[in-house]
Amino acid sequence: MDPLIAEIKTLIIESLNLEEITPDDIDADAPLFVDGLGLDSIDALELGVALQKKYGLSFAADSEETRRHFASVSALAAFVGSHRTK
Amino acid sequence: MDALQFGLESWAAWAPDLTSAQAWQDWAAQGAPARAPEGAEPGVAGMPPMLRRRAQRLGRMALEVLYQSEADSAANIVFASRFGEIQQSTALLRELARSHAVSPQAFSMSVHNAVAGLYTIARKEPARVMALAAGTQTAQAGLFEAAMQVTDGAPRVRLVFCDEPLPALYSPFAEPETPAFAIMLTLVPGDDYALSWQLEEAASDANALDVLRFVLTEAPQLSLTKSGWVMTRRA
Repeated sequence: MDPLIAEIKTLIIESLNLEEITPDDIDADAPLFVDGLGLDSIDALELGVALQKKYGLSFAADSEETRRHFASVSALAAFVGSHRTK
Repeated sequence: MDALQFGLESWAAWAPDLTSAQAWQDWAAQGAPARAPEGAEPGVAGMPPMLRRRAQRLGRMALEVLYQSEADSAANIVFASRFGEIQQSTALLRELARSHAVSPQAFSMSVHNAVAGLYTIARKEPARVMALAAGTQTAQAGLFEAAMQVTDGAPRVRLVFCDEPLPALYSPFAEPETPAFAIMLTLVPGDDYALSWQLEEAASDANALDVLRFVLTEAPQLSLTKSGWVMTRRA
């Protein structure tokens, strides 16, 4: 597995207190929100803060582009890989 | 003046060191304060994990007592806590001072009515929720609110009390240490108990643990506040 994908899965589990989920339970290509993992809008904000702190990223609060980056773990990993500042 | 009257349908309570009804009965009979070991929290097995993950220890204790009754949309909830999620709020303030970026999830759950709201979402109960805090008179305020709702026609009111020890940061404002607890009293119309005022001062304000001990023992009357509000057993 891509180490960045594994790292982001762990970040999601820890920052969102997904107490009964392991990294293997998360399909990197499945939707993170509503369907798939079933996260909600508070989770989106929480994840945004966590990514900002860990990778020095910044997001436009509610743009189509941000939605695409948050579509799945794979999409997030691609974005983090190309935009991280730390 | 006429007294506010109510019946008591049931009670439930949870603390890290008192996890069964029998343990609470023994605690009340002994008249000894419950000492709460740090860290332990209830499982809240009835709640879906995706919602349960939002709640910290105080919230989980409150949820644990709420889940001890059947879902009941007709039963209002009065959530009475002196300090609410004080551990969470303190951690948020520290983080705000340090990094200016706080956890949205932790913030959303530090709001005083958040745990009761989370409960109604999880059980799909469109029940009326009132959240209050009234310093050392929180127990009295909760009882009055719930009793007034019953008097006003509510068929059943779930009165939830919960608090936990203050973070060390607050030690300069030293207050008697409160062990962690959550209590639910289910009030219904009736005349088992009455709330009234009398011209007689008490030594201190009663907290929710004093109220539960009164309910579980045989004493005829409990002083709720220094200023003269009392709870009387009638039945």
